[in-house]
Amino acid sequence: MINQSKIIKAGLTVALIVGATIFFGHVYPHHLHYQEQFQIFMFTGSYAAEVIMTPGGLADYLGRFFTQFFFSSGLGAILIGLLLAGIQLAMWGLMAERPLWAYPLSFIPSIALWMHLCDENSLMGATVAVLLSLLCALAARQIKNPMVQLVVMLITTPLMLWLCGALGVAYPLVLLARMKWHRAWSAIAWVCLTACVVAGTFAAQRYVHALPLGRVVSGIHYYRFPQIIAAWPWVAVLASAAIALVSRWLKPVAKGSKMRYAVLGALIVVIGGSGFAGVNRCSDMGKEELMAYDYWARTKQWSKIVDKALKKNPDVPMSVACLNLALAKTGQLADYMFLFYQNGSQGLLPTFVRDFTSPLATSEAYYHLGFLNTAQRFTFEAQEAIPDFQKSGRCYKRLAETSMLTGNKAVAQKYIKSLQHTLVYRNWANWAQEMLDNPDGLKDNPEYSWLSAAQSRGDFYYSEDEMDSMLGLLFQQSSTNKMAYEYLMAWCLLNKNLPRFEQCYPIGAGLGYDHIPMAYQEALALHWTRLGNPLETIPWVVSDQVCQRMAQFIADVQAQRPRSYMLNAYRGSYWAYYFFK
Amino acid sequence: MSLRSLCPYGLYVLTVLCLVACAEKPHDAERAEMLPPIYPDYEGVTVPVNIAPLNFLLRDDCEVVYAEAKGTAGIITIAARGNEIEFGPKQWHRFLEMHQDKSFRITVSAKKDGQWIEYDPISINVSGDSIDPYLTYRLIEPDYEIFSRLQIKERCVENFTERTLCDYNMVGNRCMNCHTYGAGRPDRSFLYVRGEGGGMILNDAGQLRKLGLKTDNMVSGSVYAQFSPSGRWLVFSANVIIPGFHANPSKRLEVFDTKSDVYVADLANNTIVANPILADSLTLETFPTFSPDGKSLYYCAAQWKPKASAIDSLQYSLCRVDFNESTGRVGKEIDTIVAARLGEKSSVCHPRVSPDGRYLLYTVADYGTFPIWHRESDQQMIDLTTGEINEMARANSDQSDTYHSWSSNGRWIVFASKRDDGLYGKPYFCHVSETGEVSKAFVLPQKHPTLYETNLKSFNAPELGRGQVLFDAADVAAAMELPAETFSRED
Repeated sequence: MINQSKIIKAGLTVALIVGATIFFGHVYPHHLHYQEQFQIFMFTGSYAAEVIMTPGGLADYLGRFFTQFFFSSGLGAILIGLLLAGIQLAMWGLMAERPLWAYPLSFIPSIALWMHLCDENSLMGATVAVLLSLLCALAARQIKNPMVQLVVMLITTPLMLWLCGALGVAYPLVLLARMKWHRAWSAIAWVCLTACVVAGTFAAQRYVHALPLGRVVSGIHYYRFPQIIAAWPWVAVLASAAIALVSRWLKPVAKGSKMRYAVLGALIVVIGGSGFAGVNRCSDMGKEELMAYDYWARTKQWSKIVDKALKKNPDVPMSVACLNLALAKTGQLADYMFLFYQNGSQGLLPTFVRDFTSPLATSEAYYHLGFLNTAQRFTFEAQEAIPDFQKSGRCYKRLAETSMLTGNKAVAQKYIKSLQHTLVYRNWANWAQEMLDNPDGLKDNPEYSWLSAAQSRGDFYYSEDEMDSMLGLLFQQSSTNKMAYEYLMAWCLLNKNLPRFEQCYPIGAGLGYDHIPMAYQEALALHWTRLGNPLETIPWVVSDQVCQRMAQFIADVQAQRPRSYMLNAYRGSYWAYYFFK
Repeated sequence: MSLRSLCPYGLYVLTVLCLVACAEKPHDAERAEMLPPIYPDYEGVTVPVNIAPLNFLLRDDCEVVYAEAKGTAGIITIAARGNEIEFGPKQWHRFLEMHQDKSFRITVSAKKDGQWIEYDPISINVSGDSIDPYLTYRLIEPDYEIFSRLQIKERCVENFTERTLCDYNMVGNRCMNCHTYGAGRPDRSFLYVRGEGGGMILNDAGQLRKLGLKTDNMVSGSVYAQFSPSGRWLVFSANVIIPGFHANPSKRLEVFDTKSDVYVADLANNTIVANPILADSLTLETFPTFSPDGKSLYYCAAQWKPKASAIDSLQYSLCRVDFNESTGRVGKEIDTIVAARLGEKSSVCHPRVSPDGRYLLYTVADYGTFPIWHRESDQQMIDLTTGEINEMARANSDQSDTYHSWSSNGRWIVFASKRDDGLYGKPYFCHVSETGEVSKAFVLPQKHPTLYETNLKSFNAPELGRGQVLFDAADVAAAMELPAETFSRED
């Protein structure tokens, strides 16, 4: 007969794994993609040594190891689920008294860390540090002689603090909390001695690594911004110690008693409900959406971007820029860009900002346009701005691509060599290495061969104020670069610069359009009428439908229709953008 | 024959016995009839007698690599699995001492698919002129505007030990600029930590001072600076620097000045002496430096251009004025030593006078003040006694070669060169003979030469020093907490 309590416990642990997997794999997957792109995990001795030598280095190294799998959100989600379950089971193993009804208590540290992982800047090192600390405490618990256990704890605490960083303090805390003290003075003495060992270790770490003491004490690699102390991992540590302490006084409820299940049920509801509310509060679906756009742009899943935008219009420059890029890559920009929310030229090629996120999305647009130097610069700058000073696999790949395409083979080689030591980028790097050895092979790759031909070759200084001139020069250099032409047109339209639009419009005559794109027809009609000309004399092939709609628009404007009416009646037209945005 | 005279031969035999016994020797080797494809390139270079082991790697897939360094006074042999050769430091230094002012050859053999291949030997000259034992440089990614993880390091060139003089972790990831010695003295140097609360960190006999080298009328704080021979004066330029980004893939970044003037600071009395002749609003003056006798001040000057787009014609000439070490004042006559010629690669940067005062080393580029990003930039050396210009063909490359400094004996120069990949600068050394002949350049040796293949940092503005500087990163962090010393203006 299967033990009922075992089934309940296994069921609850499996529920944690399944819950975390579903959450991170399906509700929050792009946070995992986001995490993966801001590190490059290399299977080399020098990389391992560089990371592990720092305080908390082992936890950090293992955290980075797990994070590399986040490229696949499904796999990453399963790993997170298993790690959280590992922490929960370790916590359960560390409770002095373990009545069934108290099983939900062991979930509290895992839930705190789940909440920590909802933050896009939280790093896996914290979760690994807590897990390692609890596992080591679990191992130390096996020592039966209390005095030997204490001595072992004191000796191994500096090691744990070195390997796991400040969160390694969970190890002595949990062990001290669950010990049975016979005299108060001995408890005080051991706590003081442990505190001295901890403080001494922190001081040594600060000295050896020339780090500010504050950073050593708060943990140097649990959060992407070194100056910020992540609270939830510390909640997990304190909760672990508190549960270990409280567990000394837990009493089992008699078998068969209804109270046993009532208390268990109540705890499941309270802890599970709090966890649900906490995770809900800590997660940010707005950022998840933004990350989705960036991820799809990075992986060239253009139709997913358009489909997503059709369901809900993006309104942040970064996501609008991804949408416009997707529209351009699918040949829809000129016709349909105004069907979607547009926030000016910032939604086409956002201004450079000194951070590590938005330049990456913008660099995608520059890359596909053929501004390889600019794409390289934005990528390089984004990588340099990563707050925890890590390098990025995504950036390395793009820098290798741009260096390869611009003929800087020796530089490309450096990035490719590093990427060859990774799991995620290895196949691409091996292929790229072959291309370096045999550049003719690049011609078989449509993207690279096109970019090789279309890239900007003339020299001018990058100027955000003269983007139309830059796009014009790019198109002049490669008259088949339809995207450069459409971005130039879009730049003029978004800036409501109709004279410039009219001036540049004819240069795309050789691009083989079978009709004048809808947005262009509307802009031409608008420009023509704003110059005081009758629509009948318009010199371009504008459809009757557009002319009739334009006439109606003019009539509605003259009738002073309210703004809400105009926006609704002319939704998706350039005119609505021109007059009402 | 005395026992003493037998010593070299004894050493020779001992070395052979010790090393050959341990090594897998090539046999039945095929001759490759070519120089070995090794990195770094050491063929035909001249090295100082006190240089660290010239470890290298063979850029080829091989199972075993074997190297035999052989001269008239000794031999070292080494075999290693893989493609990397590392010489033992003690044997190496003994070997170099035995070959002082002589040359030796290294014969490299490689075992590929079970077959040994022997390459043509490379030849290396050993100069008895020692090089200053310490080298400082800034490690920085070749970035555009955003920087991170900057460090200033001090490396002993006689071995591979490295020390951090300023660390990003300790100064809040601030920008820091290069460490500059006064005549190679470890007790007189400075570096900059930029940003709020930053300043020039002056190493004044081991005591660190934080200086705020700016007065109200200056266009900026100090940017490029050099000590006077006595150490009392510091000449510096104040520059308004603008970055520009090229669209052409062969170029990357341009940095140019829209304003710049030269000033002299009195470090003893905390005053800044303004010489109007060096702060002309229609002239851009920059890169000042003293002559070793302290009687002349050299700097670069260009005519101010009203438009940033005219940067291609912003060319700097090398100028000189008299300097009075007792007052900090300069003379009224400006001599043009090297005149820029429009349309030619003749714009001068970074003048540095040799310790004996005879030669002046400088960089020439097409235009501008940032030769590190100009592929065409090369070094030249003018003989100040004859005016003859040495184009230093053996030292320069087809990539940027700039940011040089002299060894205190005037027999060596170090500079940053991007010759290996066009992007990452590395310290290269050249020997300068008494007659001004400049040898082929060689890169700073590393314990593992593979470091240069994967390293993503530039070694910026290398400077040679006579000894270990008297501070470290913790001292700089502590100095950053000091209030900056203010300076008053003396017109």
